[in-house]
Parts: sequence; C-alpha cells; structure tokens
Amino acid sequence: MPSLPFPNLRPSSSVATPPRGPSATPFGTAPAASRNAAADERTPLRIPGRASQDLAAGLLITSFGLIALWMGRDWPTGTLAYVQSGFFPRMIGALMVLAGAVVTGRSLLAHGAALPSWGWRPLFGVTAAVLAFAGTVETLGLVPAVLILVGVGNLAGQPLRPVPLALLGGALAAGCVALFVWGLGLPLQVWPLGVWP
Amino acid sequence: MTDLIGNLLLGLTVSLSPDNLLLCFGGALIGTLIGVLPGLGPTATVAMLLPLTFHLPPVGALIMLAGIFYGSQYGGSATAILVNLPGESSSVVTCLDGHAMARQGRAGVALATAALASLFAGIVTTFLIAVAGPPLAGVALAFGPAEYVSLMLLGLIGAVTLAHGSVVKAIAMILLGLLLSMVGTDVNSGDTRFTFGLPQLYDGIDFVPLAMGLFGLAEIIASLEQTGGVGRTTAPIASLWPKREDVRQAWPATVRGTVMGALLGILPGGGATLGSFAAYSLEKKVSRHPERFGQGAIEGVAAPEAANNAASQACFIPMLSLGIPPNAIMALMIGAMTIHGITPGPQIMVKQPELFWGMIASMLIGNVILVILNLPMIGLWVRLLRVPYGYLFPAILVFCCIGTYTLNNSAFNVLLMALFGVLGYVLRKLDCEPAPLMLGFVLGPLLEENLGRALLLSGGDPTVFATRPISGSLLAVAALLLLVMVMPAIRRRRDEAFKDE
Repeated sequence: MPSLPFPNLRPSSSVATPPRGPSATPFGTAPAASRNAAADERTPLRIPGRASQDLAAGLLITSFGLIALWMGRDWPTGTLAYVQSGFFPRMIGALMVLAGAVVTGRSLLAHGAALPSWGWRPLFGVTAAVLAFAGTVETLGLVPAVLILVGVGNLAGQPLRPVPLALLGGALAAGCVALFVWGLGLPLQVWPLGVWP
Repeated sequence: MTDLIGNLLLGLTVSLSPDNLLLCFGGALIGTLIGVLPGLGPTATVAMLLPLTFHLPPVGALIMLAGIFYGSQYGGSATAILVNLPGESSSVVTCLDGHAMARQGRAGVALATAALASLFAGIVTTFLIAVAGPPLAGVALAFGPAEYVSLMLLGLIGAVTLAHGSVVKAIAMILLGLLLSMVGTDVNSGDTRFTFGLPQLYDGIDFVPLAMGLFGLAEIIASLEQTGGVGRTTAPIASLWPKREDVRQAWPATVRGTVMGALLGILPGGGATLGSFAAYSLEKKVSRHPERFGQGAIEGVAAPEAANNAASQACFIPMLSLGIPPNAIMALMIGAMTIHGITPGPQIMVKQPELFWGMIASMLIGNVILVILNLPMIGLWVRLLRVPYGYLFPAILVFCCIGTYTLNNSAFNVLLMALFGVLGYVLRKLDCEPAPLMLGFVLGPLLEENLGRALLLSGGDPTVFATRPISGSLLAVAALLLLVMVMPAIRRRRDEAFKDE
C-alpha cells in the first residue's frame, strides 16, 4: 500500500506489545535466552501486511463472530417489542465481525508487532496433563489421577528428577485425599472403580 | 440516632458473646485456609463449609457463615495476588496489579493493603447500612430494566480501561465474553444456544473453569515458556508492610473504592459484581500516572478490594429488604437462612432485631478478626512464593483440577478448563487481554435479560434508554467515556506518525 499518507502509522496497541512490563521479561536462564534470540532473528510467520499479530487477532475475532452468526442462523429474532433467543447472539456476532474487521483492516494498513513464537512444549504439556486428569478422575480415582497429572505436567517444564517427582506426587495425592475426602467430605472416587469400594 | 446506637449495641452484645466470637473466628480461619487454595473461590468454599453450620443456633450459624464468607474472600484475594488465579469475578481485577506487585517482591504489601482496605470499607459500609439501610433500599426501586442496561453498558465500556492495549481489541474481548455467557439454555424461551449438542453445556459455562483456564493455566504455560521451563522467579521480598508512601497512595483509592462499591452494591442484581471493576476503572481514570496500572500500582489493589467488600456488605440491603440475592454467595446465605427457618424480607428487621443487628455487627467483628488473623499470616503466604516453580506449578494444577472437578463432580468442567487454557494462551499471544472478557461473561445474562425486558415494557421503542432520565445520563457518561478513551489513542497515533517522518 504505497499511497498511504502515513506509512509508519502504528496502532497504539503494538507500541508496548511483546515485552509487557516486568512480566514478559525472560528472567535470564541460558536456554530461554538463546531460544528467544533465535525467535527474534527469523520472522515467525510471513503474512502479507506489517502487523501479523494484529492480523491474526483480527481474523480470530472475525471468525468467532462469523461462527456465532452461522450457529444462530435459524434462531428466531422476534421483534423489538418481543425479543427472542436469536436477537442478542446475532447482535453480538455482528458487532464482533465489525470489531474483527477493524482490527484486521488496521493491521493491513499499519506497522505493528509480528506474531510471537509459541511455547509448544508447555502448551501441550499443561493441556495434556489437565486432560489426563479429566479422563482418569472418574474411572481410576483421585489418587491415580493426581499422580498422572503431576507426572505429565512435569514434562511441561524442566523435568524434576524421579525421586523428588515421586515425593511431590505422593505428597500432593495424600494431601488431597486428607483435605478433600476426609476433611471436607467431598464425594470423590479415591481409588480405581471396582478395585476399591 | 439513639435508635441506631441502641441497635448496634444490641447487635454487638449478640455477636460479642464468647460463643459467637469463637464461631466467627473459627469460620474466618477455616474460610481463609480453604479459600486460599487455588481453584476454590469463595462460592465453592462457602458451599463446602455450609454443612458445618447446620447444627448451630440460627444466629450463631449466620455469624459463622459471615466469618467463612470473609475468610474465603480474603483467601481468594491472596490466591489472586500470589499466583494470579481469580476465584470469583471481583478478584479478576485484584490479579492485575496484585500479582504484578507480588512479582516485584511486594506481595506482603499487596496482601496487607487488601486486608486493610477491606477492613476500612467493611466498617464504613456497616455504619452506612445501619444509618441508611431501609431508605436506601428505595433507591434500588428507581432502577428499572432500562437503567440496568445503561448501567451495564457503562460498566462494560469502563472495562476497556482494564486492558492497556488497543481499545478495539478490548471491546472485542468484552463481546467474546458476552458470547460465551450465552452458551446454554435461554431463560426466556428454553432454546439451547451454542451448546454444540452437548448436554453438559445446557446449564451454560461456569465461571470457575473459564477463569481458571484463561488466567491460571495460561499464566502457567506462559511462565514456563518465557523461562525455558524453570518458572518465573519473583524479585526478593523487599518489605512485608506498606511504607508511608504506599499508605499515602492507597488511602484515597480506598475511600473512592468504598463509595463506589457501596453505591453499586445497593442495586440488586449486577451491582455488586460491577463494584470492583468500576473502582479500578475510576482509579485508572483519576490517576495522574495511568500507565502504572497493571505494573503493580497499589491503588489498583486497594480500590477494588475496598469496593468489593463494601459492595458485598451493601448488597445485604437489597437482599434483606427485597429478598433478591445479588450473587451466588448471597444466594447460599439465603439458603442457609431458610434452613434455619428465617425468611429474608422487610419484616426481618422488625420481627427478629437481634438476628438482623447481630448479623450486621458480626460483619464488623468478622472484618476485624480477619485482619487480626491474617496480618501475621502474610509472612507465611509470601514464603509460598519461594517454593521452586517446578514444585509449585504441579501443585497449582492439581488444586485447579480438583476445584473445578468438585464444582459439579463433572470431568467435563476440567475439560473446559483445559480448552480455555489454550484459548487464554492464544489470546495472550495475540495481545488480547482476558480481564474485559470476564466482565462481559459475568454481566452477559443480566444485560440480555434486562435489554429484552426494557424493550418489552416500552413496546419495542429503543429510545427508552435515552429518554428515561437516569438511564439517559448513564448512557451519556458511557458515550463520553468511550470518546475519552478513543481520542488519546488517535491523537497519539498521529503524533507518532509525524515523529517518524
């Protein structure tokens, strides 16, 4: 877009973007530092336009709005005097599409932050650990589920050595049984179904 | 005035009896200990501990419940500050600056500020209820559906200030929150919406999996990523107690937060929820350095904590006079009352004065006990942050999972939490902030219900929102606020453009 009046126009959001406050500053461990440096050198995602972070955000917001509109396509809107269940979803969906379009459009016209790199390992590790808990707590019971959660979750970060890991898992499982089952009397399955009453 | 003093004295004699004092203390202690666990917000804590009070006499039971309530609320604020996990809607705001302070080694200051600001708000609001309770209940009646819609729009637009990035993205996040709040069965028609055919979604999405996912899990993932799996270290603890400079910054914020919370708390329904959000927005607007917010501004802890406590106390006015519970916790309290054969309503003040005033006085006592109990414990909570992250984050995950699971004994909620964890991480990467989303989610059902009702009452005339005086002025303030927020962004962008050329 060469004919723009302000070629260096930047959306306010992107000015302070990736390192936000002290929170986002990586506290210097060697692997983290080198990984981040590598991420900065190559542009992570080549999308036409100059603010790929905002572009992705805009597209995500627009798609949420479109999904809402599509899912609600058959719901009755009613009249203004008698609003029915389709009215509010349609209104919010349309507003989201509008907001998404504004964010997308702006990202195409202006410079901005690039899409940051992704931390696949913690993302998968933490999500898998929680899903494993959800899948096992009702059939295998609380104690195995907590042990599995701690074991899988351990892979998300810098893994602990086996002995501290076992101690942590054991302590958490025992503590949870003592607190939630004996202390608060919550109806939780403690051991695998069928093995224990 | 003599009436007031006599009433409060009656209440104090009831609640200061050794038995009741002990119950209040025990309630506050257990409430804090359970409420501080990540994943167990005040609602869950009160619900779990409710059976403890069944065998007590009615006054004692309510006093103990009040203790549990304050304890769990403070415990929830502590979790929000220490590990960035909001257990209820009001702690979402406390997370923003409280956790930032904790990372700077000022967790003790933040915890002490939260306790003291709550104490101040609690005392002031108790006297407000005692002096002006019954007449103030009338104010709530001036608020029809149109006024609620405008008030909530004002609150939602104010929520844009919770984010520090782009205004449009913050608005989009509010809209996403509204969209998520519509999942489930529509109360008016019984139609199910956005349920993907899953019966588990017919009751809608619960607050806890959403908040735990968007804040807790996303925070853990991001923290592990940024440090290569070691976890963030917090700065060394500088001081446990607020310094004179901190007090000077925090007290005007506390006063404003108290006023804001008390005013909004009187409104039945959405009022109490808006309190802490509105107080935070106000602080950021009146501050001479709004850029400090989100980076550990002490006002950002003091004001919402004061507002939250003031609102949760002020909401006793509509609850006792109109019988409308403003949130889930108050609904539980009403449930506890009915178990003991007490029907909340206007006659409660006349028929059972020792109960009513005993409860009012026990709020006062509960607040004081809470501070006495918790100030020595701050050192202990802060030490929690020194646990290596490799040990801390699996423990947080375990508590989040169990807390979410025990909500309805449903593994589906844990699944939802994992899903929202991924969403929260993606939103973070796209520089979209989850705090406005949470307010949209909490206010969504109320907004839709009142919007429909207002239009129904006006016969489909949308001008009703502008023509009714209270509603119209609230809308005007909302429009003004939006303009104020958009203008500097445009101006700054132009300035930058010129600077670059």
